[in-house]
Amino acid sequence: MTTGPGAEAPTLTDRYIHAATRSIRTAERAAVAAELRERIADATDARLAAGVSPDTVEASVLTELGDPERVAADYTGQALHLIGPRFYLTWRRLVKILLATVVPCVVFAMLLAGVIDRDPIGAVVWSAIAIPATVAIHLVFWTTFAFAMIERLESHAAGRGKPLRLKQLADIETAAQPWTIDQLVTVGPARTRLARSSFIALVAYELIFAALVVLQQFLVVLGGTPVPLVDPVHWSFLLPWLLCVAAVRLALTIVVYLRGRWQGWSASLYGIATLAFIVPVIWHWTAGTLVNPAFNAAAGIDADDEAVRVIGVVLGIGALIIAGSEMFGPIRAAWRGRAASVGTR
Amino acid sequence: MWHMSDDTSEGHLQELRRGTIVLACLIRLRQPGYGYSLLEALDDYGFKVDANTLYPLLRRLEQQGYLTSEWNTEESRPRKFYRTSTAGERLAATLLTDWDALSASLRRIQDES
Repeated sequence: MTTGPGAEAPTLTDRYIHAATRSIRTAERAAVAAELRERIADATDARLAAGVSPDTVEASVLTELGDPERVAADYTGQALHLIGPRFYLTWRRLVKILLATVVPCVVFAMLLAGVIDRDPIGAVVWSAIAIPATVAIHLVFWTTFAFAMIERLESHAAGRGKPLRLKQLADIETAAQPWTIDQLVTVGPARTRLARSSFIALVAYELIFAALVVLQQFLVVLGGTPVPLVDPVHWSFLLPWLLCVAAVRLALTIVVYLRGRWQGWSASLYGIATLAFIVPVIWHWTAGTLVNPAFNAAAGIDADDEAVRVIGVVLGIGALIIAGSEMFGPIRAAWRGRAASVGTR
Repeated sequence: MWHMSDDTSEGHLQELRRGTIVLACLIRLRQPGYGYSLLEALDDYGFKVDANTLYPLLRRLEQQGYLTSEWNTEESRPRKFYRTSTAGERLAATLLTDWDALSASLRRIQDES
């Protein structure tokens, strides 16, 4: 609607039509504008015939019509939501998966980098909070943005009466993991039971660990003679202690298997035993007193070398993570068992 | 509480009427008509439609091919006339059959309950 010299000032109707159609694609804009004009004119005529005063009729018709953008959306069939029911569950699952997998990795990486660089503890903690937070915000934003774009595409096509039937959309819709019966999580007592396969694995693991504690003296042969990996001075306390802890864990595992499931006391004892194992080991590892100096000398490893130190830090953190997950398993099973029994008693 | 049940029952009433408007339009527009005249005619027959519902509905039916439209420029101002197409006739027939079937089912379920 161009106004040249001598044209009247835009009426309320002109301004309304402009507001309603300015966000519509050029191809459809003229058509929607014409229809709106007809509709407004008809409504105006009807009201005038009913006796409404000509001064107020335009305003009252337009007011009753309502928000011009909403009226335009009704005409074009545009979706008035960011992400609709079709893609919402997929979006939500994806965001949850991303946050659960990526953010812990970033936290780990920040901690590792901080430790390796020997940064002050305050800076390390801050970077382990601030940077993962930024990453999380980016993850949520870009995922939401992508899905919002898909939703716009879809509703735009649907508004023209031809919903998109692209195979890609159907794939996105089913989250690249079409929901099947298999995805249902087990509930009830089965969830807390110590499975036979887990039991055998735990026993084997414990036995192998105990065997390694003893056999590490004989495994590495350098220059014709076996060189112990662990400083032999530790035979006075640490290594026998580790064997005891392994025996305790083995006994606990057998008891739990015979009883059928993890309980509060068994999970706690198992956790304490794991701590009793990991704490002294990490203590000596960080102090550099765990490894046999003779081994370092024979293998040509310089303990002060930067690369060696980095590997040491990574191994140490890896051991901590493994110990943590070993504690976590029984505790989670015991927790589920408590929750389940509350319901059944 | 009275107010709340008013809102929910209004919602259910709207649901009940929603589908019939399409059928009513397709039948009425066997004779060409334009937006406002259709609105008044439907009101006379007892179909309570909102203008905000009817106009976009006509547009959508046209996009889906069930109505044809034509701008009539003879009168004082241009008017868009809608008319049921052949596809629209077929759809109307299908909807009517379904409507009769539903009506009969409702009567049966009332009689037997």
